[in-house]
Amino acid sequence: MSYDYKVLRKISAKFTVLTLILFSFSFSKGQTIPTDDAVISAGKALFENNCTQCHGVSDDVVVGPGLKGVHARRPLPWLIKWIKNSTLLINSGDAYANEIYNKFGKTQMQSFDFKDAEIISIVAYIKSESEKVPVVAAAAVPQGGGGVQQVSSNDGVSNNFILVLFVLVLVIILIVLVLILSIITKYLNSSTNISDIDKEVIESKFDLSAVYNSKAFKGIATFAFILVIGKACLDGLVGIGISQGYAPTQPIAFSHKLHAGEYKIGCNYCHTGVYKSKSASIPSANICMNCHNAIKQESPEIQKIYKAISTGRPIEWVRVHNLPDLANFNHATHAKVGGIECQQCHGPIETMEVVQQYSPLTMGWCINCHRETAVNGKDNHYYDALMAAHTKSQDGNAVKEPMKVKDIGGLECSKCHY
Amino acid sequence: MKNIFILIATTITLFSCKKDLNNTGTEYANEMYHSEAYEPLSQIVDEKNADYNSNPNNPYKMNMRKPVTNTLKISKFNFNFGNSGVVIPATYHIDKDSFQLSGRTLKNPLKLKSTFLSDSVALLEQGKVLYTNFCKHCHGENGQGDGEVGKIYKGVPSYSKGSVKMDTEGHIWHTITFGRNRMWSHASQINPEDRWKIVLYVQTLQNQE
Repeated sequence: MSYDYKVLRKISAKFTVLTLILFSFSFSKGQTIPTDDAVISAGKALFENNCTQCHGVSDDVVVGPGLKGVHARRPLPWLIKWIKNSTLLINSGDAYANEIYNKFGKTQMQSFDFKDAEIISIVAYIKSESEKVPVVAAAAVPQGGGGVQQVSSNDGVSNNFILVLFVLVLVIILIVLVLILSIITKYLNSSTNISDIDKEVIESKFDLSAVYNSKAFKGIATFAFILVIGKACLDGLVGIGISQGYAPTQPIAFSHKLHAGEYKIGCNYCHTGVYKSKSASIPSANICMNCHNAIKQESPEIQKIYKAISTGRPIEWVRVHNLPDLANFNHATHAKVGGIECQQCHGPIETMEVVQQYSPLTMGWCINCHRETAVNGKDNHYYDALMAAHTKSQDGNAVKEPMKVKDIGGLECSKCHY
Repeated sequence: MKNIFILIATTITLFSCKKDLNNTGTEYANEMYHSEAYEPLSQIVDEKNADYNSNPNNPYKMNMRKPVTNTLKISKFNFNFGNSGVVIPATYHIDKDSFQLSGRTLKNPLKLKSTFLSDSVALLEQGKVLYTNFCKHCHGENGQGDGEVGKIYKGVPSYSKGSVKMDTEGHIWHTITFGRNRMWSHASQINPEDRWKIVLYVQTLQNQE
């Protein structure tokens, strides 16, 4: 009896397991993706926290495939297996899993320790997003993409429009005045009872040559001419060796306005040497590739970077700021120790489409700044003793003026010329 | 009438004078502006130019050359951090795909020594400055992946959510060094010491609410 009991128990246990498996199988097979708002919002949170770094709910590839409509492409049990452990699924020989794996450069998807319900909620979110994506995209594009440009171009248009309108109004006034004049002249000419003096006035012609030939006009004109020529000559002489305003065309039409202005990439990101060495350094192409491996790949300007990398031929940027060899300038000293903003010497670089030399880079310009600038001793213990010494004069009175660069040798010849 | 014509012609001629943006202007004593010696950043490659200063023996007349083969990278050696006695070990032998390993084994050397570097606030501040310079435009000011570039580059995670919140210091350091997913290696821009400083700051962003 006991024997039978044991067998029965074994059979019943097996049966229970079997039914459970069958049940769960049929359950997962017949599982439908919930459309409940609570589930979707839970899925949304999970998706944003865990998936967005590699996937988007669109057709675009981020790192992995775009997940728009994935609920229709793959059955739910497959998705659950894949998300939990994609490697296992690939190794089991699943055809679709292997196809995806090979298509995306054999990059393994990370395994996620989700519960089934959590994965279902994520899929529910993807489904709800996939179905409403077109509406969202259509609404989002004009806001995000052309927003800034539209505003600025609108500004330009309205300015031009006002100018044109103004000129138009002036021209109309002129025409009206000329018309009135001609009508009055005609009327006066047709009338007979006017005096000879009045007639003379009516028939008099404005004579320009009288103005030209007057001594006063000749004198003023000559004076103005000499003044203009003299100014031009002086400017030319003073400007020898000064390339202020020099804005050469670069081999790649790189826009600082776009990168540093609109996208707010810090100067140091590309000019890596600025706080560490004498030269701020021109970025090598691998820094461009940190973004342009994915952004604007098809642009002919970006293609030039790819070409430079593939051929090993460096991009020949044209040097804008060129200090003569006789003067030594160190970026780290000024930008790191002095704490000077890049813009103080280079101007509003974040608004420049093409970089131009903003400052004259003359010795007078350097020296003037050394005279006016107070030494930056913040968090710099090197200057502590000097700073303390400069707060008191020799007769013991407190000195109000802060220590300037000139006080610690900023005007010494050999500081820069050696 | 003739006078007026001359006047108009002169005015047009004078106003049509335009500054040539590609011209540096008159230079006096060229030898002073253009180095005779080979310099990497101010090369004149045109042989007809009197200031020609490029090396004809190098490919593309480059003045700058790659280090000779078999040159040892400085990163092969341990890095001494100031006078503090902190040594940043050359842990580059970890494979670039081994995030789990680096996450377990790499420890922030800036945290190990507490004498000279007890001023962790200063280190954190330096980390923040470095973060602002190198990371902010993608990862956003608060590490939410909402930087101006991040929005169009896509795939930038938030530090304080999901699995990224759990990433250890070694994992973060490894990510900056070798890149991960869509992010590329930043090893050429940020030196190991600065990377550890950034890690310090990123960890405060991970733990924000």
